[in-house]
Amino acid sequence: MPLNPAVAGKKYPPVEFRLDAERVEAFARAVGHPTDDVPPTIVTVAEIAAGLANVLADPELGLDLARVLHGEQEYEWGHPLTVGERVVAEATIEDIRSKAGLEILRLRTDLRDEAGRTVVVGRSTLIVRASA
Amino acid sequence: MERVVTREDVKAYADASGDQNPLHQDDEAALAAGFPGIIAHGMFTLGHLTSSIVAWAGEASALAQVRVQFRAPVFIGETIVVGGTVKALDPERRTATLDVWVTVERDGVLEWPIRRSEAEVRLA
Repeated sequence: MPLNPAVAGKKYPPVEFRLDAERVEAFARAVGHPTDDVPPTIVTVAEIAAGLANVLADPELGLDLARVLHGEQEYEWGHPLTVGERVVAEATIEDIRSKAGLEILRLRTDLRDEAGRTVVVGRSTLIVRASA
Repeated sequence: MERVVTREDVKAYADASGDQNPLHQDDEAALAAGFPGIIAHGMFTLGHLTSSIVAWAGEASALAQVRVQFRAPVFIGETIVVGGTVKALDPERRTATLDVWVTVERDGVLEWPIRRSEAEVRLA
């Protein structure tokens, strides 16, 4: 089914994520992060939990994971990440567009630390192919 | 930076990131989605790209922004090659803007898993 454009602007419930040492280390190893600090793209974990997982489960969208491709990704990092800290991720569907027979969904995820400071803003562009 | 992408690498990334999409682990699922085989997560490749930028800049907090396009898949056994150039310096904000990319060579042709992409780095 085509994506419902009225879903644009929808905000999903916030999800908490803790940058615990084991998690940070596993991620750092998985991406070849060269230093002891937090690998910057570890925020994808919170993005997936707060954004992608919600989008995929949303009956209003009716998405089939097999038809979704990751088209683009942006991150803007603010306050530095530290091991052990807790962040809260909140995802919003920024827009839904149709282009050349594909549907393009842009998902924005804001991650804030316990003091309310923005640690990162992520923007994911998902490309949804029509069903076979 | 060059890295050969193994099935174990992609699985380790799936576990570390929480992205267990079968497209990245199950050959059948990849074939059903129209790919000749398992593909690495776009974020797996981006993670390696940002690691290279961090290595260049010296610390993780130096990375201010990235904006990337995923333009081609990466298959198991391929070698991803990270590249970048500094295209602008802002002495006032003390930042460098880089053009960044990731390529793979496939059947003698250069493909671009990450292309037309940029990063902004805070300089010391």
